[in-house]
Amino acid sequence: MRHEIEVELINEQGMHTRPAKLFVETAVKFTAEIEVSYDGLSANGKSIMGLLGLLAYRGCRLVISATGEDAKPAVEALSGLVNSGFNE
Amino acid sequence: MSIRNVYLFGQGVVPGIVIGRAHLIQGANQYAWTQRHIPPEECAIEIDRLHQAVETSWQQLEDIKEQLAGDSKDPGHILEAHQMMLRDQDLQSSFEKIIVSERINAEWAVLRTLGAWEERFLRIENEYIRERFSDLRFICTRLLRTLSGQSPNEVIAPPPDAVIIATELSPADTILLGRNAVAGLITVRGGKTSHTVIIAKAFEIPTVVGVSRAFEHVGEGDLVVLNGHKGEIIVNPDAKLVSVYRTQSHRMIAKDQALLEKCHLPGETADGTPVRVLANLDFADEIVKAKGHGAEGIGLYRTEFLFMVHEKDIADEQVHFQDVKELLERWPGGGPVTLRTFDLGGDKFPLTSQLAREANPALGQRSLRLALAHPHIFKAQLRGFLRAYSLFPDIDLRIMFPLVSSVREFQTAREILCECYRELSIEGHEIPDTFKIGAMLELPAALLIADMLSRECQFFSIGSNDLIQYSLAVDRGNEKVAHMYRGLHPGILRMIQHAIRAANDAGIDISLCGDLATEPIPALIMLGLGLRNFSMPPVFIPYAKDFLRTVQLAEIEELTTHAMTLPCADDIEAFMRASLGNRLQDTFWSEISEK
Repeated sequence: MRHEIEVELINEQGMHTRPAKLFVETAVKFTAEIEVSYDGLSANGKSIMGLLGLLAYRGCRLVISATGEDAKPAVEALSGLVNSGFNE
Repeated sequence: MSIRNVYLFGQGVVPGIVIGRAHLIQGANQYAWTQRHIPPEECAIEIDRLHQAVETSWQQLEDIKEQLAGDSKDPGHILEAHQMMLRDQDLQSSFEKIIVSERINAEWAVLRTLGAWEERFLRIENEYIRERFSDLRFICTRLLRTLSGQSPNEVIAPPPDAVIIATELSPADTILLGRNAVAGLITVRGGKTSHTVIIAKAFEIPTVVGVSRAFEHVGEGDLVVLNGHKGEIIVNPDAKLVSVYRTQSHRMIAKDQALLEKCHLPGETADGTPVRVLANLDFADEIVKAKGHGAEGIGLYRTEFLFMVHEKDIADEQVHFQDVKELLERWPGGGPVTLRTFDLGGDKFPLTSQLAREANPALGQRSLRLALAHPHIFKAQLRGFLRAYSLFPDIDLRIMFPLVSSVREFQTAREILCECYRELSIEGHEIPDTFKIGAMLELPAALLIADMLSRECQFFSIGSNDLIQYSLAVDRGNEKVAHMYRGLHPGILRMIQHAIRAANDAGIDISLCGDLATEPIPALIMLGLGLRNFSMPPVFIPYAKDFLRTVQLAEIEELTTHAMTLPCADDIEAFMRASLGNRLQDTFWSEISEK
């Protein structure tokens, strides 16, 4: 199973340390493999350094894709987190 | 014997005045870490060392986190993020790859990885992203300390009441320092939004950042005065300065109360010369504070925040009408209310922020230029102003254009305002024609043609911040040149003198509304040059009024005449300090900050 969604970073700080941490904390709850891509780069959605390394700021559009049994709920949870602005 | 009274400047980010002994903390790049090549068979050993260091460092952060438990200040999530970074698989595998492929020891691998990331992050022109890199540097520094067998608590264990000097501080270090009751923090790197500043604020540790020359001028154990209001550091102050600063922090608290009680007396000098002390405001509801602090009018009402809040509907005059109506209905009358049309940089302007960036925004299409380029937004604001005014016709309303550069430009802006007035009259609004239209003088060329502008304008307001920046070509946010930002530069004073004379000759009001109005020495010189209106954040007003009552106009005029003959800002400041003596030391006017 594979699911994919495009989201926009709406929080002021973009993929800063705290948002990246929240993203990883959510991602590791799922067994699916998670990949986040932006601007030709892609990162392991369960690696904080990978996410920070995307250098994505406010307004950037990210593609979150998940492969595995729980891909659908994983993509839903992660896109929900991004769309909430990481509760900032 | 060390040199006395060395002044250093930075950005004050957490207010407060402290005195303590300097304690220097070195960062990742300052230590001579052992860097060596290794034979292939040792790669496994180095990888193992690295893994152990990761776990030890992880545990150190865990211990700090536990110490924090039960503390209401909760920066724990930052520490958790650092722990996550330490154990990150991507990071670990890049360490391992470098150890194996380049045959280098663990310390070197950490430094190499840090360098590679640094290159990547620093290409980006986004403050948040750049600061993100410091998180990686913090964990790498911690790893290096652990690899070299140092206990981190030993590294940063400062003597009590120390003033910490560091290139930068990790949040974890800042927390430990806060718990060790350090007196203050000074860092070489800047950045108001870093995690470290947030923690320093939570612990209320007075902090100055961006002090680029700190390590050159401060030695271990040097006595240091840190002024977190002004972003000022004095290294090895003499006994006199120490006693001044020591008493200052105690007396500030008591004096605050005493001054508030008499802040409603009219502003005047000791000989009874009236001096109007006005308020600078950013929001309509601040008018309560302005009244409470004895403001005799609003010298500057900024509208920039409104633009940021109402990004989408900023061309709607109703937004502007509502905002100004809220301001005017709370103003008890008496004294002017000065509205400034929007003073935004192109990068902050809703319509243009998506467009190509200007190479040099400070010299680009900003402020009034932007307004004239977008007349429908400019008119929405002006119409909103006038409609609100029609409800409160007795108020002494003034409309001011920022960054005026020429007579023609002022006339163009005024014509648009008059057009709005005519349109509204035809639409049936009854608007008195007694409001005044004026210019903000903040470009050197505008001050030099103040006599010509005075025939067109009904009042002037000097914006000292931009004036100094443009005249001296100094960005005061740039730590390398911030010390050259001097309002007492004779060139600045001469331009202001010319403008004050022109206004007084023409019989129009002139006020000063930049930061210069909040500093006692420059403000006194302005008084001596003939200025009678000062506008400042409300919290300064009681102090300014109190200080003005200690000086005689004739005396200040005499001092100013001499000051204007001196060639350098330092000479002028020294002369004024010497002449005013204790009166200046007794005032805390410039030492207070927004509460």
